[in-house]
Amino acid sequence: MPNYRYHTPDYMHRSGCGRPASAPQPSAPCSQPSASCSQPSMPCSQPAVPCAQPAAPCARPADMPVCCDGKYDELSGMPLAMAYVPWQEWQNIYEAEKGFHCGTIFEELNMPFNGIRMGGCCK
Amino acid sequence: MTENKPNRQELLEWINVVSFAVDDVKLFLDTHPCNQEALEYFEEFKKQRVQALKEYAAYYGPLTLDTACTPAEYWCWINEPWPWQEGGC
Repeated sequence: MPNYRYHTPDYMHRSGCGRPASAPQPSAPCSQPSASCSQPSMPCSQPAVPCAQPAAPCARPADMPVCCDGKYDELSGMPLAMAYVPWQEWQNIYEAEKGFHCGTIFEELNMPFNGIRMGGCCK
Repeated sequence: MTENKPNRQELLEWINVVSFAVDDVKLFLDTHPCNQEALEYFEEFKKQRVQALKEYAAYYGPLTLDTACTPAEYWCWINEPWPWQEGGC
């Protein structure tokens, strides 16, 4: 059975980071609304006539992609619906008893969920 | 034999511990099939799991079909309390 690791782009193999150093930029940063629909004055305001709404305003710099909430999106330009998981190394193994009670023998995967307001996980 | 009889709850806890360790390293090996350290860890804890299951079966009856008594004996599986009964798992 082929190992999928050897059929994935190089940036997915690097330890410590599953994201590319510089995300490829989309050829068209945002979709241009057609002439038949009105341009919204604010990025998140609703246009009078519904039309294709870009996820981010067209005025933003091409090298500074943003999410709707204005935060920088490191994954901008990556294909949609794809998951990126950093390559795990064999390290920091718990004692078996502790692993059983933590739900994982890997210290790096021991990330109890504390709720979104608490930052997601305890790490 | 009864002198060295292990505590039932402690032995069950240990079986749970080593079984979980084997199961978790199995997941790691699914994506790292050549990792020597993980393979050694798997072999070690698989051995401990089998040993613990055999020991449990010898004193308290089989927990899995792998440690069920031989066909020549009485079918002792039904002698032990079920998990939902007092004294079960």
